Amino acid sequence: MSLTTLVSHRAGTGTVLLLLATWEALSRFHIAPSQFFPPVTTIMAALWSLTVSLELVQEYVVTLWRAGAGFLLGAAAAIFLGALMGHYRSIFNLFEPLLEALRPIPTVALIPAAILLLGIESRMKIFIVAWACFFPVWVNTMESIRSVDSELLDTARTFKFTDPAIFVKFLLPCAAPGIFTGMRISLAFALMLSVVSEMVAGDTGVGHFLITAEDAFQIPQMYATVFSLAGVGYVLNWLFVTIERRAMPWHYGVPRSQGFHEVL
Amino acid sequence: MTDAFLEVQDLHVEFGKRERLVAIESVSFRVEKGEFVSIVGPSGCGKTTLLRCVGGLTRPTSGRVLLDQKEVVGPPKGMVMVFQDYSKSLLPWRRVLANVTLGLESLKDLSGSQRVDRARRYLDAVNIRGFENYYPRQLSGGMQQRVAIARALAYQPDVLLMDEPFASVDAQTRCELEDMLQKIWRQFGQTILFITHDIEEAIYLATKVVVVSARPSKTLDTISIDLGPRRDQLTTRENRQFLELRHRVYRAIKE
Repeated sequence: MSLTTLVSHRAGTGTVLLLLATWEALSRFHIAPSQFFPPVTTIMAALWSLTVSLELVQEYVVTLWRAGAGFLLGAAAAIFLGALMGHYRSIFNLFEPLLEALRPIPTVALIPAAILLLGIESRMKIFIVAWACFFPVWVNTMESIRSVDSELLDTARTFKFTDPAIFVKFLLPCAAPGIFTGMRISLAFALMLSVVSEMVAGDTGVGHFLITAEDAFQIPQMYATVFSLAGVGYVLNWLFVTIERRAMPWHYGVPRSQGFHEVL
Repeated sequence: MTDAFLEVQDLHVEFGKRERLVAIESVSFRVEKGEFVSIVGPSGCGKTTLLRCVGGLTRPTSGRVLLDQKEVVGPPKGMVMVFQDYSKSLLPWRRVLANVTLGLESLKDLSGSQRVDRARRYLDAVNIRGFENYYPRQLSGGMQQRVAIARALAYQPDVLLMDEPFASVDAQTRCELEDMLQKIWRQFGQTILFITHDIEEAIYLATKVVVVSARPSKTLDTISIDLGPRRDQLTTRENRQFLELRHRVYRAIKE
């Protein structure tokens, strides 16, 4: 690793530590009201005890299952519709006005309606997550499919592949990098919307835990939950990127050991 | 006149909605089974459009293409096209072997191992050995085009259409590929339609040369090439007859 890379990596971690140290100082020396702004060390201690007692872990199981289910449903629908709309002009014309009208609506604005129609438990939350996850994946899928080179399609046709085979063997693999990008964006939304919907209604999940902590004046526990969300989100993203790299070796560079040859 | 194996009859192609652009005015020629026909003409004269019509990828505005007396309305069975830009035609997410077996996947009557055997045979025929597990982008341009050709050959088409396949490689690689193609044609006996803007390449490879004018294209000349089956990059190109043919084709295009 070069010196610049090393320095910039360390600098990155350093920035976070500096921020946390500033927070600790502001709180310990009572520059900020320590009742509402507890020291980082107190927050970390609360986080530790919440984790060890499995209280927070339990809530995460619920939140993540909702986020995961919603993510998969939203992404699946988005890939299906996006692929068809990217390839068939007629299907595009049919659905584009509707979807572009729905896309700008902030998903949270739909929560009240969702509560009326779907209740306050998991069903509503999964729907809200699916809705939010749909749009980034849909846009990316559609554009990726649309921008597939015509030479690739000509190749498919000259070898007499039928439409379903063309999707599976040509279009979707070609669009895969774009689709994965859309999914990575939606992943963040999945956790976000799951937590937000739990804050608004229901009595399980991390979002509900957060609101309860605030109501009960357990301020360190409240902040601890927020910190945990940063950590969980980071890990989820890292997991997804790892899967992405494994799934598309041709796109992310093949191992150097295979090298490059010129024959004749 | 007996029916030819492949026939292009008064092909006329226009594009555009408001302003009509005539790409091909009138092109006709006949191809017998097993012939190697080069189509040569100036750049932009619609040669690719012509080949696409023969290959069923584009519908002509009028006129028709007959393969074995049947009209071509979509990519016909027994005919495969090799494109100029191999980097956009090979599948980057598949390794070389899987790219070559691609064409065989729409054929129902072959097992997986049969496909692999066939793919290996044709990779051998194009002189690619030991690169089965490489991704296309790890290979040089010349090698990638060989893989694309092996893929088309593995399908075992009766007719092979080639759209300036050697235009994107350097001159020396081009000579090697030309000889490789000749060897394959002598070995497997397909009917080949080969588009090029390189007059010498057209004459060197073919048994018949169709000369096409600039846009809107017309058939200018159809020339039989009797240079014999054994051709050599050095001696054939210095041959008196070769030079006369070259002269004739060049003059036809320039007019």
